Amino acid sequence: MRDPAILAGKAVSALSRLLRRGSGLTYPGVIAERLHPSIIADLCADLPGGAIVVTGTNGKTTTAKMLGDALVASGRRVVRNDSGSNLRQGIASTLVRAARPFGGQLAGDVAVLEVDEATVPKITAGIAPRIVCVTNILRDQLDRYGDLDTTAAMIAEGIAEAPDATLVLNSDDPIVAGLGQGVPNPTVHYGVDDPRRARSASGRGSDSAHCPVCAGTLDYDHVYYGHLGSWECTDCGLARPSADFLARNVELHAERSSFTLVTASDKIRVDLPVGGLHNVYNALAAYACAIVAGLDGPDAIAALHGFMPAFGRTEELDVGGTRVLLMLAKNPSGAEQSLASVLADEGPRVIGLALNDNAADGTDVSWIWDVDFESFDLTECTFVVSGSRAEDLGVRLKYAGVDERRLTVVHDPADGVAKLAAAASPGGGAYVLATYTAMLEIRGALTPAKDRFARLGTRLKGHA
Amino acid sequence: MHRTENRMLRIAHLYPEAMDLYGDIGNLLALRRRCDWRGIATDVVEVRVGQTARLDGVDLVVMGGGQDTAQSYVADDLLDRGDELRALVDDGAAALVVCGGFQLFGTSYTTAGGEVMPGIRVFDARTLGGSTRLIGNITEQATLQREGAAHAQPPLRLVGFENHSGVTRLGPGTRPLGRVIKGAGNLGDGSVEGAVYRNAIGTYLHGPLLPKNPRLADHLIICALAHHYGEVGPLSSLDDVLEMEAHRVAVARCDDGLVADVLERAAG
Repeated sequence: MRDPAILAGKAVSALSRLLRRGSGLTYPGVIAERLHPSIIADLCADLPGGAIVVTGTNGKTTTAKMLGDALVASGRRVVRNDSGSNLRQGIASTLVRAARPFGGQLAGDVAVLEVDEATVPKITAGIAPRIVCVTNILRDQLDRYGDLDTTAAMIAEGIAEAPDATLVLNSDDPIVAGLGQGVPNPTVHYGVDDPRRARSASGRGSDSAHCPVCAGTLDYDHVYYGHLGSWECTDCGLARPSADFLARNVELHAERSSFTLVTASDKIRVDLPVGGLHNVYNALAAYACAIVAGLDGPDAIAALHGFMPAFGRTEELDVGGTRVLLMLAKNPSGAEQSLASVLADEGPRVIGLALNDNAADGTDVSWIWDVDFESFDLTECTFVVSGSRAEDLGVRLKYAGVDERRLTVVHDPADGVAKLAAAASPGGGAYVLATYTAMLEIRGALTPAKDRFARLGTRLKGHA
Repeated sequence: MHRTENRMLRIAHLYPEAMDLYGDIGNLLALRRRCDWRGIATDVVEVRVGQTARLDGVDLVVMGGGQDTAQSYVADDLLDRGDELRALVDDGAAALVVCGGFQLFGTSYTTAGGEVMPGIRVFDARTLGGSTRLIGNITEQATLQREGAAHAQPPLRLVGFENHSGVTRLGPGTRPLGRVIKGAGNLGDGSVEGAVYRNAIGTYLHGPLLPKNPRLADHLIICALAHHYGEVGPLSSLDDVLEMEAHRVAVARCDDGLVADVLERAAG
């Protein structure tokens, strides 16, 4: 009998929203799991399409959103969580809210769950997912889990709990590809084959110098970013698996991208309304999962063409008439990819960087030194740095060779955006890369202003 | 004032492919920029596992931290170069080795899993891998004295970010780099941090360390110049306003008790 647990969870959910205690994201799950410990597994067991788990350092939210949207577009009822609830209790809460109050079944065909790396074993142990998709394992807020090997071990433990799940793995990431070695799971790979998109050499080492199987030395033909690229172990010969879903002829712009998707049977040009090579990877991951889940190729492609990014991943703000593109940048690879997309088109750039060191951002800000600013031509860029660790960013840019006269340091990220908008050329745009809580501060400060402008506009129209 | 133009330093960067975990590359970038701004040329020798590299004539050695797997990957290669590196330090060359680099420049490093990696014994320091990670902003008071210099420098406040599970005990032949003001340090008890032997400095401070602690960067440059050219005068001063602001902000963050919060998140 799971009804009491679901009803209790729903009651807590309604109550917490009524009392405005937080957003009601975790309490329902806590209560429901206490009353019925296997609630997550039991709810997922009823889904005809099963559960799809998406994990990895970067791209979880976007990949899950692309996949979920594609499934919805094809007529499936999709149960999905958001990035704020990718730990176990948040997932339990999501499922409880989606469950029918009586009979205790999920009102859906398939669940697409974005799952935090450390939570993967706790989720896969019960739910027997149909698909486990791993986007990449890159340097993140490393003060959370220690290091990349620790993260990989946690995901591997989760995969061991789900021997029947099809693995959808990024072949260009040796640590991720290593997860498919020596396991019974059926596996498909996706990757990029376009050496023109390799990063320019700045003499940097990659952050995964050893083979995931024999710990030998990896030799790269080319590296796209982080340790993603065309790799081969010089000791045991393990190499990048051939990709079942491959992107070629990748074209990148600040706010859109396109590539040729090559599969065993097809070659299709895909246009994405988002920029950056990282989003090409996200689209490949989502497409691969969609096909494994039984979608038709054209339906999945159509969904990608119409993709709208998740709230806050990339967001356009109007600051006193200047268009400001706000992007989440929380680790070296993400920041490099966003920077690369900002610099993809020629011309001078006004760029804001906002760095906070709250727990949700990662308290260790040393990762900004792993952002390879040196590999970009920044001579035409003007910077406004902000956040609780604005000075750290200022020093980083100074040592990357940015002239201090092109560098403004402020503390409040919202002030930073105002300064940025003022520095932008008339009609030109500006860009902000912000850590998680800095992004919330910027949005919090600017959204009401936008609403005020909208109201003002309505009033003026009324007077006209 | 001694002119530094047309001078040059030879820097050895040990294992850039494996030992660069928490932005430690920033230490090398800071050293190179601060030399460049003063007209001092730098020649960087990258030392990689299994590759020949000429260490003779090196004035400054830099090594960062790494994951356990990376550390065991470089350990044997480092041992092969141990005599040469120890001779450089005994000759007065400067060194900055951080975290995993610090541990391998000691006597031995025993991982939490029981694997013993012998170190190259620049420092009389034994490290035991623990189960608790010591994570957070850290600040300490250091007293630096260049080997052969008549006087110690005034006390120097250092700030960085530590993230290690190793507990390091110093033997009688090695003194600590600093006295911890806020943070865990070598033993996890907030007493002492790092190690100094002649002009070699070992530390758990990431951050990276040198960009936010420009006086320490300049101390290493002076030691390296003295190694290359014999006696040496003071360096020309640089505009460090931004660096010292970053230093001040980081010191203030040491008081904010963020560590417990992070550990709680990791457990959840």
